[in-house]
Amino acid sequence: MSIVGFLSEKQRDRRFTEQLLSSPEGSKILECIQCGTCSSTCPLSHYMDLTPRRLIYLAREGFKDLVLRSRTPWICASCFNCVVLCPAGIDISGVMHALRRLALAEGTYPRDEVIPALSKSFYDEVFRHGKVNEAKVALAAKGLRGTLSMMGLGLKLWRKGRMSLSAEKTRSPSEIREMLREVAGS
Amino acid sequence: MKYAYYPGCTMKTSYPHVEKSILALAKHLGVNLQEIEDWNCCGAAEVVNISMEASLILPARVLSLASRISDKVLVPCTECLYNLKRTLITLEERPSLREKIVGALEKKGLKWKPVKIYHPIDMVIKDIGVEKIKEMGKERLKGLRVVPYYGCLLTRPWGDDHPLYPTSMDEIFEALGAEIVDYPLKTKCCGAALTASGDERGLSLTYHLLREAKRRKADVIVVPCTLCQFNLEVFQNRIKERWGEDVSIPVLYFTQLLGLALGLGEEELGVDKLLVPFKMPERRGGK
Repeated sequence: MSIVGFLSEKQRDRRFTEQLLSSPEGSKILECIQCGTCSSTCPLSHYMDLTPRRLIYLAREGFKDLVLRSRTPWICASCFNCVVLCPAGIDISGVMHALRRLALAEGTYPRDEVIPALSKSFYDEVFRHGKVNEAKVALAAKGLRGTLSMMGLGLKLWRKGRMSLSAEKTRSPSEIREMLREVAGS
Repeated sequence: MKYAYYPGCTMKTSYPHVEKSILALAKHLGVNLQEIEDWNCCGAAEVVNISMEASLILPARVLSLASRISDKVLVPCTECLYNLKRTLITLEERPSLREKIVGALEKKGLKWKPVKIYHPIDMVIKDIGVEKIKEMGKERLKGLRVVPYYGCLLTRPWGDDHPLYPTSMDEIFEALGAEIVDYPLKTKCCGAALTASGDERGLSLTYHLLREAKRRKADVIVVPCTLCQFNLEVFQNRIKERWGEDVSIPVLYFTQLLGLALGLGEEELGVDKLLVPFKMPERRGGK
């Protein structure tokens, strides 16, 4: 059965399309000609529930719930292959970022993907310290089981001086915090 | 030649072996790198998933601090490179966002002044020149089969080279005597954060990249991106377990292989810290 299933007019939300059109990345989605270059050039589309072409079509037609519950934006690795090839000049990788923001704000992101949790803990770390220790953040996002599965590798890297769990900080993290609060309101 | 130098967070915690090679190479080439004082995180691939404005103010602060040092900033991490370029372009194209971001900078006594953004490859090509490198290199890489793997963010969506078929590293390492392996996957994605988090969907991309390099009998893969260096190098054992194929091959960051080719030592370039060891041609017992 298709993930999309029966689509009804009731599922369409014009405001969602407007929201996407007003984001810096999504302003050109109405120009999409549905050629499918994005889906065919995507190195990861075979893992996606909605291919990039389909996702953009459904997004511009306002199928908010379907789009914001999709795995696709979280599988996209932002390689920009589709972006440089898109004949309509759409920033497709950017659209994925805009969709991630909306899905996180609505709480509709897939719970078994790791990138949503990683994004949240990464932002918290920047907010707190101004700098980030990526290994620390990644382990926090992966949970205990995920952390244990990476231990052997972590130890090898640590022996080579390539793994540190130190807390990195800017001189005055409150300066960064105030700037973030002012522009992002959080 | 003076650059503001922006190492970015991971260079200090996960890639000190790469940073060593950047500093050693700059010194050898007579380039003055001044690390930006009190730099902050660029937001990586994650902050833009939370807030567009937050993802602009972080690189904007870095660029503002850089402009106090020079009109050029050197950025060895391609994720940082992308974020810095994206900020320059977005603030140029979106007056309302520029107003908001520049206003927040000014409240903290920071001026907005755009600077030129260079990757170490840009620095070598524009400021040193391939001819000079060739002269200095004395064909030390003769006999070495090199795969220059470019990945994504060096050339996409913005860069001087072709977005899908770049040749800058091919030219540099060919001038140093290396045999450049024809490698059609040179700009196929390694899976970035998906792979680094241990996700098998990302890992499958890395597997295909390594397998193709092996199939084409490469001795070494050279990369312009620290995350590519990580993904291609550290999961080789896991890939062997998962797909039952030996994909072991050394993976060096651009400045590491270039440093060796210019006669610098393994230790000062952090090459001794690789998980998959690499030896220069004359020491392999062959030619």
